[in-house]
Amino acid sequence: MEFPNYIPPLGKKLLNRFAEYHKTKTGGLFITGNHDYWTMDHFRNCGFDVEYEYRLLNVDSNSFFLTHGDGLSDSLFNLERPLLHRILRNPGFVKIFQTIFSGITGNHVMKSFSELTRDNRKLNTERLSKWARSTLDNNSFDYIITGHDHVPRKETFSTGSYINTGAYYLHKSAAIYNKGEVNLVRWDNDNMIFKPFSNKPDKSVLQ
Amino acid sequence: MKLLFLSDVHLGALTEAENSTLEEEIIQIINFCESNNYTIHILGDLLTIGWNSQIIFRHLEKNY
Repeated sequence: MEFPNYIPPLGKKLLNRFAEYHKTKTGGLFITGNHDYWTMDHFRNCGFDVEYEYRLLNVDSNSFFLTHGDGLSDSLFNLERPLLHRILRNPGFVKIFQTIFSGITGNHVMKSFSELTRDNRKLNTERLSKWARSTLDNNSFDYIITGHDHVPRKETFSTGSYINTGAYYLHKSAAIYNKGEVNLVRWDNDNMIFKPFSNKPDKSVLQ
Repeated sequence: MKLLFLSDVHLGALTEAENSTLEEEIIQIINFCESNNYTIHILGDLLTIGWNSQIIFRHLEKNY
């Protein structure tokens, strides 16, 4: 997490690469999750369009609702954040924390705290799946895309589709929009290509 | 238009060697997206400070 005058070294090489990428490719979003929402200017300086809640996108003739999945402040969308996340996102709490601790110490404190409070939320897919279906039923989105619960899946309803990109570190999974539709994919680092997401080997190639 | 949606990379949550591999993979993905004209949207938890217990991760992988 960023502090005034302190940027954690974590992911420096990656963020520098994003900064290079964004010199020619603008418009990339960074929607903060529950592990990386203490941002100041660093992600923006790397060229990201930073969003803390959700973003609506219209691409071609499709509408997207994008969010991390931990929760939303706007009660209109009926996806309440857990109390702990509301506290940690509270500007007053952040200000006090950053006043008490230096950047290095503050990150050590949060690291220890994070290890203590790590939950096993990947097993609970029902919360986001039910919410997505209800939101699709009551709005005109074509796609809702989130992460958070670490289980990659695509659920298609008559009112739209819900895609959870899953946890990249576990499944190498992501979602791709191309030719008017969204599909789950898996990164094949040996061949430097995305393949359709499946537990079975698949020789198809997406470009 | 082509878009890539990526989340829960959790770079920083694994061992040093695993984090390094993960970081290189995401850089390769950026290279792919650059070459193939994809816009990358990050949907949270790209970085994680903490919970780097290998035991937790091995448990999650084993039980997925």
